[in-house]
Amino acid sequence: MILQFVVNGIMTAGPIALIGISLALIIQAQGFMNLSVAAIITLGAYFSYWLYVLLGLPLVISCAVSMLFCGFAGSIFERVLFHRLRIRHATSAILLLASLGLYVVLQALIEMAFGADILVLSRIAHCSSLTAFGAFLKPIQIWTLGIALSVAAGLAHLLSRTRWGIGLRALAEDAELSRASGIRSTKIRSQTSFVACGIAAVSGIMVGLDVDLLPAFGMHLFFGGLVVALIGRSAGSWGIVVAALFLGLSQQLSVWLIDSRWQDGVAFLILLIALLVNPSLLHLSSNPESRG
Amino acid sequence: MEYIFHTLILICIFGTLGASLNLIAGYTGMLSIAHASFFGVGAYTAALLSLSTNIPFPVVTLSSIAVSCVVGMLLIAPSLRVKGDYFVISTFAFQVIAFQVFNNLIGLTRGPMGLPGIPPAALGDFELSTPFRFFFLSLVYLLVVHWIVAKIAGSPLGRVLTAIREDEVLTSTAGKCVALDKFLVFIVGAGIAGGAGALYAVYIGFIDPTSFTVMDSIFILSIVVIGGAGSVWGPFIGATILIAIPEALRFLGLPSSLAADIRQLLYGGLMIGFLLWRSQGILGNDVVEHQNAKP
Repeated sequence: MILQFVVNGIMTAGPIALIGISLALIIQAQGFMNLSVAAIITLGAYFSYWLYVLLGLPLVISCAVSMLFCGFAGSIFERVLFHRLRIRHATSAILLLASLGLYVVLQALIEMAFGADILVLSRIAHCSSLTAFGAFLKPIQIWTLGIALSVAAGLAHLLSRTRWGIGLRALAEDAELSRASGIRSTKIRSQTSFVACGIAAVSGIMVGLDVDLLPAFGMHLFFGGLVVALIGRSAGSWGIVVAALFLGLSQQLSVWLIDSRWQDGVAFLILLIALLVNPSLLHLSSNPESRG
Repeated sequence: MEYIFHTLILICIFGTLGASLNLIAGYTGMLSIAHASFFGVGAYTAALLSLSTNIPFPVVTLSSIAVSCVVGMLLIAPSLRVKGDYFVISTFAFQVIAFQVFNNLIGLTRGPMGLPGIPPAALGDFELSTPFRFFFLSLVYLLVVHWIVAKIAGSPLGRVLTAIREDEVLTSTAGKCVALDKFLVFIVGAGIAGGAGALYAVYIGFIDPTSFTVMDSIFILSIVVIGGAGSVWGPFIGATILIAIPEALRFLGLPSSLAADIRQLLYGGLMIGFLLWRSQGILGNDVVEHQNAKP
């Protein structure tokens, strides 16, 4: 029984880690908490559904195209909306409000296109399960965890070894100084939005393959991703993976000790405690308002 | 005619909510996404008291205000440690936890089943059971709240709040007790939202957690942004637009699910449009731009 909860906790860390990594990239590049990523997660899963179920394309191609589509969407939103707001001297509070508005618009468009009923992306995850030491686990969950670990490793490499990574870190550290040093902040933000939204879409697709689709499921996943992004981002992408494992295990512990309905509450209680007891844990010493 | 008064009541209730959030976000610059939680706390307090006791309605409303103030204190006291985006996150987290409490504390709130059969408001023997009668009560509450907001905005405290919004560090170095002022204004805002919740509960007669979600907090915030942050009557204008226009969609004969989606599109689209082209809203001051910020 305990082993099953531990396995569940580790397995739920996969999609949460992916969203956490995506959000950490967004916060680094855009300098604010972009809530529209919650709708991008949903969009990734629903666009895959459209390609795979309604158009009949192969699953792998549908997922890949959906990921690229969401990446482009994120990049376009950055250029068309957030960049224009920055030109108009918007603060991070205004950017955050705009991302809220964008989330509401995208969510409504998804509901108008696909309806509010439950949709099934694929039955592949429903058909098979593995047993390890008496605990059940689904292959799709192992795949998701594997992808999360691969993305974390790949990103750690890209951030330290490529011009994009160095530019992004410089932008996150000091936007004004990085601009003065010749780093093209607009291009870096656009590229990072593409990568981050693509990763967020992968998370949505993998969860969509595991459970059924509902228009609000992106925000539910976003909650967990936000918690681990804020707690783990100071330690890089591996820190986010560790935070996701911690959160997954905590949520499963709450399922075991209290009730499964309190999972979101537990996630946010952890964030609230971390935020209020020890703000330095979340790197609050830097002033987000100063980001350009 | 009843339908018109129903719409006017909703405008009054949400105008009040917008005015209370305006004190917190518009005047003081504390962007909060937890306002629906205080609205919910007030509504649940009023519903539970009305269903289980014979306490008169004014006392029920005052109790809702008091409980919401206490809950507001629980959020703002520790949240004073953080600012900017991180304050937003703490209020966001609080809103999610509050929804979980409304939804999962079934022994008290009946969870997703909600609390039905809340008795209508009555002042002595005079029952406010029709929309026409209730409208005047909600209008009085709206006017009282706007009077309070105008008094605060025009007082020395109001000027300090505006100074906190513009530059908190400078206000603090000028000898003002920034933390205390932020604490007070947040509690006042939470209390007013609790009172609006009490009105909503006794008017609708049924409440469930779906009326007090993150989306509802976003809706209240849209009212402030579109109407005009930092202006006394701006949120009322915002509430009028955001409630009256979607209500007008009913006359197009659209299916209810599609109308709900169009309503969401409208909220989001208007919010983005105003932020892009008129960030101060319809009546507000230019509170969201910093001229020294760089693109």
